Amino acid sequence: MPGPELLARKPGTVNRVAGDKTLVMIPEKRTLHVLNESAGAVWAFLSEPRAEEAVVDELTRVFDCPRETAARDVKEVLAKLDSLGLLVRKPGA
Amino acid sequence: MAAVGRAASATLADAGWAEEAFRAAPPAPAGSARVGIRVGPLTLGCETPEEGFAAPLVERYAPFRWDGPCDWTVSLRRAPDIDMTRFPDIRVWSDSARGIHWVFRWDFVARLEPARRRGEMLLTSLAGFGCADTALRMAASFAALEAGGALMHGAAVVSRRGGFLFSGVSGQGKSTVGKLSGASGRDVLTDEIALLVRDSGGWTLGGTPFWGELGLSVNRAAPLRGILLLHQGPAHAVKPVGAGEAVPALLQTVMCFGHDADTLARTMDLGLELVSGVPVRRLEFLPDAGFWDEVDRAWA
Repeated sequence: MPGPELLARKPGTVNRVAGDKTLVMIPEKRTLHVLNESAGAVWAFLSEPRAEEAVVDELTRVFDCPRETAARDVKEVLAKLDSLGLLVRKPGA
Repeated sequence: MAAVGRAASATLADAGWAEEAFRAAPPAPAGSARVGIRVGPLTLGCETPEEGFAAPLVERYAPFRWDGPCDWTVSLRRAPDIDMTRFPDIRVWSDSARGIHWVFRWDFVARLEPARRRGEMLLTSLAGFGCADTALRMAASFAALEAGGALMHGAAVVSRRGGFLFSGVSGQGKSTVGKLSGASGRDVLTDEIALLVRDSGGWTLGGTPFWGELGLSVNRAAPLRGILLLHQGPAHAVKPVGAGEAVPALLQTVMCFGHDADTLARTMDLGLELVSGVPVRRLEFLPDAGFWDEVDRAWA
């Protein structure tokens, strides 16, 4: 049985951290996306392909918050990143 | 959501068409006139397609004229058979593998190669000498980035406290700030595009020959004391901004014709360096020179 779907940053994106914001750009679209702290934490963790559950674990740890809260936030952030074209999804191994 | 620079993206197909257009275009006539400028540390030459093209440039760029060798050269030639009217606004396609940036507008198509410090522009039959100004702006934007600086949209003003960049895109009040500052006795370097370069003592703010509404072409520079992000507001006020707000706001005003990861990463790094090295504040202002009281107070 394959593992869970993996999420990763869209290849070729450029990103930098400015204060409490993370700036992300898809060069060919030239649009600058400004991510807040929680979205920035998700983005940072997605430097390698991860399962959603692993992202939730990481946010729970980083923000020292209840897992349910982190799970809700991660779902929202991933939906947003997806809608901006900043994510790729890969089938689990 | 914001954008770095102002030009939208063209397509790979546009770049393929442009490649062919350059191949098919007639060569530049021998002995075409050349106009050189020096803007801060940047030296740029423009090879014009005909003698009549050069005279208005010589006049416009008089304070910045440079007859020495140039680091960057842009060559213009006529290609009367090409039709660019499908590009009503400027568009860019960057071929990052080859380091070539294609720029399209209703009256020209340009090819810029920063690694060779060369640019070429094909002019349609609709093109006027303003295309040469655009070509030099594009070349200067790459040259500035290479020199660790940037061309930035803004009004550059020198007061007794030093140089200030009032940063904003079109409609945010650059020319208003320029007019009010000049009328109150301050030295206005530009109301359109300023050059920021880093040197051993910090950042320097300079005028450029690239005109705005006020038609200024002032070849002077001053140490940069601060950057103000322009916002029209109900009263004059200078307010703090965090890096997370300041960097995206500044990036919107950087003149950037590269849509490749390397150019954009360097531009983002420049924004971060500026914000870490120069005080950046938000200026809310009314259209009167009273905003200078707030600026002087904030930088006292």
